Amino acid sequence: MVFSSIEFLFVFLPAVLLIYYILPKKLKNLFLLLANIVFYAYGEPVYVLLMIGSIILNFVAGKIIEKVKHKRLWLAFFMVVNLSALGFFKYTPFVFDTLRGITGLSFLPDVKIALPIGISFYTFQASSYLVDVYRKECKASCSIVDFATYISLFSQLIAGPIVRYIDVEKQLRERTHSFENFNSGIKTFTVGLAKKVLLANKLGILWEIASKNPEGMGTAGVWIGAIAYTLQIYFDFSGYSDMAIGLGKMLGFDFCINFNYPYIAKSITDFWRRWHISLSTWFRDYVYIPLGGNRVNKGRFCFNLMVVWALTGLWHGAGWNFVVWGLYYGVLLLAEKLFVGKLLKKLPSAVTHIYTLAVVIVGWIFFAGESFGHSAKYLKLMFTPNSTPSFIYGGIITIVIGIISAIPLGKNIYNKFKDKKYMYVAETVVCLALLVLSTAALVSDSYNPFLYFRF
Amino acid sequence: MKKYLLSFVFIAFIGITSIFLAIGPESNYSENEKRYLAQMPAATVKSLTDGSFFGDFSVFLSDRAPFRDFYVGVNSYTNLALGRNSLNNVYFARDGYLINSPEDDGIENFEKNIDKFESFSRLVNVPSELIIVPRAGYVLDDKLPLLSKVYNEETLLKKAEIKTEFVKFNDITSVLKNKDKQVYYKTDHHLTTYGNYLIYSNFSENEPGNYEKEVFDGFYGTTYSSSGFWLTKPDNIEIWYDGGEYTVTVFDGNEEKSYNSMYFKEHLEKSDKYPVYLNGNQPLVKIKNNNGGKGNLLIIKDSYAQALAPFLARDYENTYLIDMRYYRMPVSKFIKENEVDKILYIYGIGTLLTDTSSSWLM
Repeated sequence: MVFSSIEFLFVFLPAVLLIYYILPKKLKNLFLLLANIVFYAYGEPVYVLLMIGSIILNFVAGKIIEKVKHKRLWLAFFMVVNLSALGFFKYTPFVFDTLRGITGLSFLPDVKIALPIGISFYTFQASSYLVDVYRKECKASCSIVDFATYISLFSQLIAGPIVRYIDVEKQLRERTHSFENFNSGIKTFTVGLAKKVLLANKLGILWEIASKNPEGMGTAGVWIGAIAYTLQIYFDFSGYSDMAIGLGKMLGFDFCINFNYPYIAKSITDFWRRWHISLSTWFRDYVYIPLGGNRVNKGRFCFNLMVVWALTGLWHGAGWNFVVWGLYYGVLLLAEKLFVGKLLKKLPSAVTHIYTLAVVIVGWIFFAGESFGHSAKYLKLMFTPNSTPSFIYGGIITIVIGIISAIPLGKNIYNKFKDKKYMYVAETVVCLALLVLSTAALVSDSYNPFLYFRF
Repeated sequence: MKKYLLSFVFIAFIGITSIFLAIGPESNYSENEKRYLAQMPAATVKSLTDGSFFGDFSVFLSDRAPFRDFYVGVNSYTNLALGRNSLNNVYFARDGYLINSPEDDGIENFEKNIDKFESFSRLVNVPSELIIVPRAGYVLDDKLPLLSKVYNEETLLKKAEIKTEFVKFNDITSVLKNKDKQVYYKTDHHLTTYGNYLIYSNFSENEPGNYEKEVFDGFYGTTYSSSGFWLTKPDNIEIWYDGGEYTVTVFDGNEEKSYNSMYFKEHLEKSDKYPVYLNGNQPLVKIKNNNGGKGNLLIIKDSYAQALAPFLARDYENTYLIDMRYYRMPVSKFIKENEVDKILYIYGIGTLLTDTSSSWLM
């Protein structure tokens, strides 16, 4: 189930909130677990078993790693199991496709495996748990219900953020439910919903038009498409994170923010501190630092960085374009760490800002493209003057609203007025308006007049 | 407590909506969409494991959503404000016009249809004429919003001209262009009665008649229903009586029924009033002119003929309308049995681009 749907907003959510708040404290986690399973099974009726299997395995693994002597060996074993499952479901078709491209192996079959939703997220959560138990940063969970609730929590199951067990360990046992939290959760959720439905989906249409026929768009049209995608992916992803964080708050959980206005970054290093923060931290804590981080010689440091970024790319999707996209950032970050960073500090912020955005937009084109050829062609068109006007210009207004929403302007205005007396009325009006507009967009998706017989 | 107004409003909003969803709509039929709303899908092992249940359930829910028309309207106008010039392939055009955007070119299909008309007319050896009604956006190009797509009528009509030889092709674009009075409806894709009168005057060799006009308001047609631009003003629909008496026999696929009027006024009660002409599309309609007229005309057609036929009926003793989308008997046999003297093909360009039913012509 996705958050931006009628069935979530008006069936699942009201039912969960109602029952959750009626039930006594003791039963709340058990109920959440059941709700999570229903949430996941809706749309992934078979793979829900895979998730349940992963939960049981990791719960037992945590216990074993905590107790046994050869902790390192056992950790390695369970990590291999976890990552094999992820590898099998996510990367098998990719591996076969790549191998078939090699001469002599073209006889290999064209394997198709449907990717279980959220597997990248829950595998990473479970892995972080095992490592933290191994490092004795936390104790192995004593309650399978609490642990299962953590792994499967519907709010972050599908698109993150990647929550670490140590961050929510206490909250799983004891969390406060207050109007304050509930109210602020609704705000975060509604903003996230609007980001997804009102901005990301509409920007997505622009990108679809532009990428389908970039030649017919004219230079300005191609740029509109590229900017639309840049904004779309941000609102899509951060919208989901906001909804997750908001829902978490409504249930008494407190998750860290996952996006912090990435497009105002003034360097690539800065950008990745602001983009999908929970993923970057995960890779830092569980890959980069264990490899030695930057406290090694230069050669090894470069190697570490490239490994992390190739993996980051691959995590986003099983395809060479994702690997290249990851390495592209690896190289740029390395350059910034070694010498460009000092230069950037001396340059005016307008220049560094433009540099960062240019790098990011070009990156997204390769991220989004169905093939290198298509992406390269698209990029070339962006720098080929062509004044053909196109109907995509109508998207300018959406783009402008998108840009305004991607900078902290709204947040600053809000912070300025948030202590004013009647602010709660303004908040309510704005949130209700966003809810109605989002619902309108969702309901209209199925508006489908059958008019053939009239022609 | 009032600090938490938002919480109460939010709970009320999702709570009330979910109650409405549980109760469901009054009717399973949507007047605006002309279709039955989705039913609760059956939960079987198969539909649950392959996931089709969830997709169907989702459609079922949005079909039942309370205040559905309100939401659709809100969505349409939001998109308009965000710079979209169309919604569901309907342009929000100037002066209150809602005009279908040119979708799918379907040129091959168009050519096939024209070829079929030509070969069929040759086969039955009856003098024939072809009228193709261009889309409103082509004729009323000055009404189109900014950045609208190009209508390829010019190419298509030229093709029709080239491909017809036995069949006489009658290009009516100039007949419809630059008129002071409304030739297309604003909320529907069809021609107004006046627009049809212009075509009739161009087609007929007789002197135009004197008409007594009756006007009905509150007509909301297809482009209105599709677009969700609910604030658009309705059209008037006119009936022009020429003073003649006609017997209309409608064959609906099962049985024949006769009426003494070409107008079926029960349709005027509904928002979509176009079927007032000849009771909407039917497989076969026969109009007998009780005041005389010469010869027998067969119209092979889509819905554009509905409002034109009442004008033509004045000139002929018998006027027959066959809709190939519903008629499945050999038309050549019908032509022989009813001594047809002339065939008129009349179609909207949109139908010729997409519809393949002319292949049943034999």
